[in-house]
Amino acid sequence: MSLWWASKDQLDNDQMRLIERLPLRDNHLVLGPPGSGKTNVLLRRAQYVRSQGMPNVLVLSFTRALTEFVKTGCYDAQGREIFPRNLVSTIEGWIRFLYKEHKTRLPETDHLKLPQRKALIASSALEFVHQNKLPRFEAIFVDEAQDLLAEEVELLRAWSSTLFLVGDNRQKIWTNAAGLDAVRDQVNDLKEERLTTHYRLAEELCEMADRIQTAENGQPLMTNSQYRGPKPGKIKPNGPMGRTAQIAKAADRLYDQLRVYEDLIRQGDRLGVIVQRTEDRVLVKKAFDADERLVGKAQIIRARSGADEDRDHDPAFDPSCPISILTEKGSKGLEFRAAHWLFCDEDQQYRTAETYYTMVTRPKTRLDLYFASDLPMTLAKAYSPPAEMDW
Amino acid sequence: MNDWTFVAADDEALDDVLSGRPTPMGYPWPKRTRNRVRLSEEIGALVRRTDFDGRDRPAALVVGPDTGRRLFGRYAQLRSDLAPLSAWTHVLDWSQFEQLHDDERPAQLEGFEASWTGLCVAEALMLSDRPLSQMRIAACLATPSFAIARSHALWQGDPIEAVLSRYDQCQRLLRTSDGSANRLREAFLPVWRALINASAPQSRGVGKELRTVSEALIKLRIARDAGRSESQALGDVFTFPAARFLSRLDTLSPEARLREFDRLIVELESLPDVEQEQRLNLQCLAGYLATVAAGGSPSLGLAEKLATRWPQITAWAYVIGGIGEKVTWTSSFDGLGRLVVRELLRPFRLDEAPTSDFALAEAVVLVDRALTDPLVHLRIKQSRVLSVAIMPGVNIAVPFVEPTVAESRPSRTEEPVQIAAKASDNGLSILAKLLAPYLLEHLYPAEPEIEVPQPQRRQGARGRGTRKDTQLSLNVDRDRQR
Repeated sequence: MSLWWASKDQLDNDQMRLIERLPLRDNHLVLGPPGSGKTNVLLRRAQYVRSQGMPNVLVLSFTRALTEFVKTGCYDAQGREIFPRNLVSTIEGWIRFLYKEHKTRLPETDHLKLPQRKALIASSALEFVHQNKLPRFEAIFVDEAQDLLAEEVELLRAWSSTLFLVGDNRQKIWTNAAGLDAVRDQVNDLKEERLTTHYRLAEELCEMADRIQTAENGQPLMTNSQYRGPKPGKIKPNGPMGRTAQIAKAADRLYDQLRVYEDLIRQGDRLGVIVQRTEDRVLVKKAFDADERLVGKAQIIRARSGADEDRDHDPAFDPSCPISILTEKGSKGLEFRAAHWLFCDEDQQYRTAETYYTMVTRPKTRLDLYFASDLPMTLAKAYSPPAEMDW
Repeated sequence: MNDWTFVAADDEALDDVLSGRPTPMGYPWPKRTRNRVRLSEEIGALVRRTDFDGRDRPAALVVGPDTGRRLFGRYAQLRSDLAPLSAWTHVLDWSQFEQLHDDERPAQLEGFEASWTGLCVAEALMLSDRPLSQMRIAACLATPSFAIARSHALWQGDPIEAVLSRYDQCQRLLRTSDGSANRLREAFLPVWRALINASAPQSRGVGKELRTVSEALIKLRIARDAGRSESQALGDVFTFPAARFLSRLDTLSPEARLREFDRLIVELESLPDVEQEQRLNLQCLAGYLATVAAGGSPSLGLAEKLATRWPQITAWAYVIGGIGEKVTWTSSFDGLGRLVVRELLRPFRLDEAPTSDFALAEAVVLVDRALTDPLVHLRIKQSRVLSVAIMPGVNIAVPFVEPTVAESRPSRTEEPVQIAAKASDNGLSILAKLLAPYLLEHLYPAEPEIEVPQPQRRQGARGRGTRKDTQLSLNVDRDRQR
């Protein structure tokens, strides 16, 4: 491998076409498998549209972690801002902003579950557009559109006549979301585009993901992979072992990965540690902070809780902390050079095939699975141990 | 089309030539004079009749060392309007002139341009201890690696020692020391030798201890050019036990490659000094592994973390990372790569005026430590960084700080009588000059002088305080010190 080539992600012709050649005022839905550059296209398209005399745009994504990830794309390699980061927000943050701007209290939702709460808040915000206090956006760009609620689609439609959405039904991890069906139903003259080639996943990860779900267009990920990263990729089940041993094992691997991927990390790669429960993030963080090899290297990526003591929490990715600790839902839309999925055999009842597919497609090169008893059935079926040489 | 004439000149004729007056009788060049004028002549001048105004312009002087010394001194003293000569006309010695077969001499590195560039960047990084993002082109052009690469590209055949000697002379002359560049010299020497051998049109042969690594560089280049397995190519050369992993490198995960790297370092540490060849082999192999450690992607951090103990590994990594690379205008090395390679490969053109501030050969004659400003005859019009030709077309960057007002003011010890003695001054100006030392005492309070052991250097204005302090370090360090 040469050091000479700058490892800048190059856009392919399909991506260029979606960014520059689609009509500016049409509604578009871009579909594509993990790693096909949907988020990249979304942000670059927003940047392009702004440069074409439509500066009033908004980029929305789902989770705080994903929003922060998108914001990292607002800067060039020299750290100069090339797209205003203040135009990137979570959907929830934007809706809360609408309430604040219109001096209206959020509806009482404590008695509701999360999807119903989100639906009520979104539908109640619909009336703000008629107050004509704020101008409508010239275009709104939405990432992970498969997890939109119908009410959220309606709200987006009300606030801009031009929507540019990207998504993938195979990565839908909110079971109550109306997702792309709602988008197709509600958005007029929606034109669908499709990215087929993907670049993120090593061959071994593609194979495993293909055994969990078939891609939406029926083509296995393997057939359209243009992965050019570190090889060989690897999936490594680690267990059975107790929780403490899982964290210790992950710490050993992370230390090696910090060393061997240092250059890639310097260029923006991150290492992911994924857990299901929010409280486990703190558990893992404490363990890493107690390990002198990892102290100061790990960061919990989460939104502010709203509590007073959390006011100073900065949800942005800290470049000096290349290890990101997140929940499964928090990791959606993100990518890591290597990911460690801890306690993956716990709380299996809350997971769908889409969840497993989404988790397996987060790492680019290596996925470590840690379990206390057995690999979950979906993962066990999908995992194929590498052939052992008998000589 | 340019019309070249070679003029064999005495001092008087040279005055005419250098003043642009019509050229005395000469020979057409390069057709008829090649190699045939040296024996009979002391001074040669290559004169070009330019297209646009029909004037003769002296493009190069050809002189031997003694003649050069005499001419540089003579023009600085008697025709200072033309001095320094090397700022506007090339100065060649006779052997260099004999190597010229045309008015353009191409720079050739035989496909190792990117490797040499990487080495320049690596050395600048290690000397300055700065991140790549803060590195400037001048820091790369100030390295011995650049001096050697550029000399080799233009004038193959000069031994490394000769280039380094000129490099050191330049540093000693224009700065208070030869800087920290020597720190890496011993470590880089084998890398320079191996790379020169690999990037020469014909192999010149290297010492026994360098044979394996030189062969490795060439085999690696051939493998990359042909798209063959590079680990296999290296495995054919590195046959010692520690290199066995090369045969299965493609199947090793990044984490497994990391362990192999660590094993190499352990073996390197345990090797006695006398095992020079094996030491070089292991360093080179570790450098290669750093370029592919992250599963085929580089992990230079591995090498850079060891740069204090084993700078050779980082040097090899940067060299090997560039082998076989033909596209050199990318933004590699944060955009530095294309700038360095452009300077390395710039042809030496006689029909273009020198781009350096002056030539080292002339500076050796004109720098006068006894003067208030020892560099006064060089008429420096640059700030911060000088460009000095240590050979024709081989311009290295040398950090330079212009004297401050305080430094350039007249010394109070200057004899008032000397000033008053100038007949051309009117009475008022004589009075002003007589009073000046006393006025200056109030205008510029005396600065504390820093004691730096400089036995050969008189305590002149350029030798004072800040100047000495800043010159003790490379330019690349200077901003950091501020």
